[in-house]
Order: sequence, then C-alpha cells, then structure tokens
Amino acid sequence: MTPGIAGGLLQAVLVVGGAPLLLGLMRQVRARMEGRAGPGVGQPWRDLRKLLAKEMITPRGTSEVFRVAPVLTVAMTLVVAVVVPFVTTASPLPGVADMFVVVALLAHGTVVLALAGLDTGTAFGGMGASREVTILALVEPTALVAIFALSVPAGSTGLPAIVSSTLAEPAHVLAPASLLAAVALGMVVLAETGRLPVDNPSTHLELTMVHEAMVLEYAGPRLALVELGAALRLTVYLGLLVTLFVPWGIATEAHLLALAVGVVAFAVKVAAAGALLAAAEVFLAKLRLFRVPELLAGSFLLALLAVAAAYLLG
Amino acid sequence: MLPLAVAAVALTAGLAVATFVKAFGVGFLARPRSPEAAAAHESPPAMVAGMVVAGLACAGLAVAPTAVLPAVSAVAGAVTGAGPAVTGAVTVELTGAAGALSPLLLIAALAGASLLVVALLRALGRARRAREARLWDCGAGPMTARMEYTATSFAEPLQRVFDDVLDPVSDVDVTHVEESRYLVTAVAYRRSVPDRVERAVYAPVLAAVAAWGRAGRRLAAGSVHRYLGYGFATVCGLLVLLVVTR
Amino acid sequence: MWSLWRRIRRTGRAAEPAPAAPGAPPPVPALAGSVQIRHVDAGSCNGCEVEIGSAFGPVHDAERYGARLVASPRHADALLVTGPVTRNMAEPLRRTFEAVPRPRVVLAVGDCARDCGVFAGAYGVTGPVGAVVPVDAEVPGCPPRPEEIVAALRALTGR
Repeated sequence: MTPGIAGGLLQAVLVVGGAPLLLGLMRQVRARMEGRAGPGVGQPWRDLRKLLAKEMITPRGTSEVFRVAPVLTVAMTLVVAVVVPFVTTASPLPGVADMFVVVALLAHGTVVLALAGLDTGTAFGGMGASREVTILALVEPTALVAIFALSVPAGSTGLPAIVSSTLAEPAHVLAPASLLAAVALGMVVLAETGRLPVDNPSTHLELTMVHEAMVLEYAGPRLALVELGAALRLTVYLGLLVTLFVPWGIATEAHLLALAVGVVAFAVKVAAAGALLAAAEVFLAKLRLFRVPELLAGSFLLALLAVAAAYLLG
Repeated sequence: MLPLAVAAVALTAGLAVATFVKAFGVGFLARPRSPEAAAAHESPPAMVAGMVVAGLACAGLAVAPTAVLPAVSAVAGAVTGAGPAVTGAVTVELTGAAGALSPLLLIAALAGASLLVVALLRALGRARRAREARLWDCGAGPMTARMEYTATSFAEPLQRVFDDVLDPVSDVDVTHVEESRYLVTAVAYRRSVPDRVERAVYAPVLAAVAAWGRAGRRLAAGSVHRYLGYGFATVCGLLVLLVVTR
Repeated sequence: MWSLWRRIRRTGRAAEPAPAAPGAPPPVPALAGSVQIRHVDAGSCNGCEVEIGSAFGPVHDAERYGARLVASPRHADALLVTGPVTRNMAEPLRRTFEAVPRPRVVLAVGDCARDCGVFAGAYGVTGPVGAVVPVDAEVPGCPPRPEEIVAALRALTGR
C-alpha cells in the first residue's frame, strides 16, 4: 500500500469519526452561549447509534431514488474526504479530482437528496428540494469562480498544488485575490451546509426549513446516513476552507510524524473554525428566503473581484 | 475578459443543475401529476431503442471522454495552430493550466465508497427489512397528486430571483363566494415566461419588415397603367439627372 | 451585537444544576442516551405546551439529557402527547403513532392526556390518550411542572 492511499484512508476515517464530534462541538458552543448546559460533544454519535438500531421505513409511492440517495450523498462526501489534502498533500489519487471535481461532487450530494425529496411527492419534500436547488444554483457559480481565482496564482486547479504553493509562499494568503476568495467561499460554506443566516439547522417549523424539509420522510438507518452525510459535508466544507487558507500543518511528505502533526493540525483547525461559526451564529437571525439571493449575489461579486484581482494584480 | 467568461460559464452550470433536478424530478419521480401522465405507457421497443443508443453514447462519453478527446483536441489544435489542448489516456489532463479529471477512476471510487457504506449499514444496522408505511401527511387525509410540487412551483423561487431578467407574466384569479369576500371558491394561477429576446428584438424587426412589405404591396396594385406610369417617371427622372450632372 | 454579547457574559449559565440521574436503566435499551421527541397536541388547552417549552428552555434544559424535539415523527422515538384526544385529533394521533419507527414510546403529558381531566365527558372528546394509542409512561399534573416532564424524559434516556 502506497503512503498516498494510506493517507487518503486516514483522512476518510478521521473525517467520518470527527464529523459528528464537530457537530456536537458546535451545538455545545451554541448551548453554552445560550446559557444552557448542552448535551455534550458526543451526542450526535449517540443519536447515530440509536438511529442505526431503529426500524427502516419505506414510504409507499417512493422509488429507488429515495432509497439510494442517502448512500450516494455519504459516498460522494467520502470520496471528497479521500481526495482533498486535509492531512497530507501526498494525494492518493493525484489525477482523479481537482477542485472543480470536489465542488461538483459536493453539489451532487445535494442534488441526489433534492431528488429524493421530490420523490416522496409530499408538499414539504418538494418545497425543500425547490429551495435547496435554488440556493445551490446560486451558490455554485460563486464556488466555481472563487476556486478559479485561487487556481490562478498556483497555476493549477489541483488542490495539492494550491496547498504547496501557499506553503511555499505564505504571503499568497494575504493577497487581495485570496482574501476576497476566502470571504466568497466562506459564504458558499454557510449556504451549502445549511447554516445561519441561510438555513436554520435547528428549526422545527416546516415553513422555514430548507434542508430538513427534504428529509422529513427518512427514518432509522437511512436517517442516520442523511444526518452523517450532513455532518460530513459540514466537516469537509470547513476542512476545505482551512486547507485552502490556513494550510500550515499539512504533511508534505509521507512520514509518520508528519502525518500525526497533520491529523492534529486538521482537527484543531476545523474545530476552531466550527466553534467560531457556531459562536457567530448566535448573533445571526435567519434571512428571509428571498433575501438569501442578495447575500449570494454579494458573494458572487466578491468571487468575481477575486478573479479580476488575480489576473490584474498577480 | 476571461473572468467574465468564467462567471458566465459558472452561472450556467448552476442553472443547469437546477434544470436537471426539475426535469428529472418532476418528470419521473413521485406520483403522476396529471391524468395524462397517469395514463402514460411505455413506447414500443423500436422507439425506445433510439433513445437507449443515444443515452449509452452519452454515458460512454461521460465515463471515457479520453476515447474521443485526443482526436478532437488534435483537430482543434491544428486549426488554432497550438498543440493538442487535452492529453491523457485515463485521466484528462489539460495542457497550459495544470488540471486533471478522471471520470473512470472517479466512478470507480464512488462505486467503492457506496458499496462500503451499504456494507457498513448492513453490518451495523439492526433492521433487516424496511416496513412499508403511508407517507407522512401530518396526520391529515391522504396526499393527493395536487399537493405535489410541479415544474412551475419548483422553479418559482429561481424565477423570482431572476424576475428582472425574465420578466414573467403572472396572473392570479380569485373567485369569491357571493355572500362573503373572506371565503374563496376557486383560485386560478397562471404564469408564463415569454421569451424576452424574442419580444424585445425579433418582434420590432419583424413588424418593421411586415410594414415595409405592406407598403410595397400598395405600389404594385396590378394596374398596367400604373406600371407604365412608373416607367415614364423613372425615365423622366433619369433624364433630369443626366441634364443636372453633366 | 455588543449588547447581546454583554448580555451573554452577564447571564452566564442559566441552566439549573442537574438533579440526580435516574437510578433505573432505561426501559427501552435501544433509546439509551438519545431520545428524539415529536410533540402532538391532541386537543390541549396549551397549558402543558408552555411547560414543555419551559422544559426545553435554558433553565431546565432537557436537551442536556439527550432528549431533543424534532420536526417529523419519522425522526422521532417518542411521542409527547398532551390534552384529551378530541374527535378531530383521534385519527391524526393514530397516524402519527404509525409513522414513528419502532422501537417507539408514547408519553402522556398532563392530567387531560391521562384521564381527560376537566374535559371528561365533553361532547368533542374521544377519550384519554391511552384509548387511542398504547401509552408507556404518564406525567400527571395540570399542568405538570417542567421538572416532572424532564424527569420523565430522563427516565427514557437514562442520563
């Protein structure tokens, strides 16, 4: 087994094991800031364990799409977790996926869930799918353009190349193009992972839901996959953000000590980003659905400026 | 110029995703949304075969673009005078900007990950078989096809976002009960998105051409006397022109 | 934003210290540590709803014991039913119960849910919750105190 594949598998295990903990940490931060005690960081894992032990339910009138969607979202996120250099730049599959592929895979995770929401044929399923796809269609351009801006100084859309280029020249991070792209990608992360102010992850009101309305029909182990998928997406998106803009600590050689440092650095960076996001969410209210496009248009503009800056200034 | 081109391509990509979800989701998923759709039946094999061939070709191109791309890019390179734009046998590699994409390996990785997830679910989950249950309808009466999202309702938020660009025409008709305005017997909602380019560019041009044609028709009324008159007037005009310009 | 931050700093922790954990193991082992709850108002006067809201508020914080309110019975493990079951809610309650994946439990909260309370014999009332769906645990009181609701939930989660 080459060190690259070992590194990739290590990343997948780390992301799967850590994603529910990250979710738990974010809920805990929020609970503490709201004056509550909170259920503890391990609660999402307890939820998953319980869901796995529960009965599976197939609503009448749904097709294979409904059954396959949770598996596919998790699988797509897993592939991303293997490919992106979270811990080590010795990518196991160097040519398989560049950043455009990574973003497309993450978007397709949303697409299959939206199709599953439509497949149920309930009003809420359709509503959730419609809203999620609307947001996705507006977010995707921002993500693609911001990535393009980041790939200009590195001369490559491959993630290991971008990370190595930043590690070689740390001043790149502070370039205007990089800063603008960071803000734009930050908004992409908020929108794609369904966090405030785009979507409220803890809402119980169907009319205000975006993501959860699509998955109201899932129960038991399939719901466990959907929830794990959501946690994985959050981790992967935050991981992508810290990997691109704070790449220090990522192992550049397949070395046991370097890998260990990479694992610890990744965990600390993502936990810090998650805690920061959770703390910021306390101060935010959810935007009206039809105000969200304004926010996304703003981020698109920033991404566009980032590309322009990358060409004109660097 | 390049940033703008990238932005346009990116916007198109986002909208393409929405279009795909709408087309597939509304066309094929959930219960039929109209009596016509409910009465749909499979076409004869000969008709299906054509679509299967086209579909297989699309899938083949998506999985193994490297089978065709080198030849195509060689042609493109020869035309523009540059080298081939794309190289690689399994992985598509761009020359110029370092970028790579390997659909075949990607699909293999996805399949592997899916199998892994299913296997883990089988190993960890206690449920062997899924129970069939009625759709969750909030406890009220059964869901009907009228409650489903249609293509119009699905696209409504996006349409609203691009209101200024699309300029859709919508119309809500509310019929009230005679006794009270607070009670409603029927609500009719219509929305159409007429092609804006067609309206703003083609329509005036077509109208102008038609008007020109009508004007021309008045000149040629079919009267021999009038045509002779045209000839006489032209000859006179030419003579006057010759006299003046000589 | 600064005023909110100052308020967060000033308030600190609003949650009261947790009472002693329930000694008995949870009745349904599969639900240990995590119980997701769908609340069904079967005809309540909303007195119990206020107390349930309070049980999940910052002071009593039922969430710290692993109980969480969810939006769909498909996501739920327990139904929290309040009020006498009115004629219009009998069938929806039955369907909600059917929609919950097994293992599932039903908690009847409040005197009305247990024995119709003051609404016993009213023309619009079908009967107590137990007459419509099997009830696993009851929380007496009109309305029950949030502490008692939290205690009943803790008995389920075992935390």
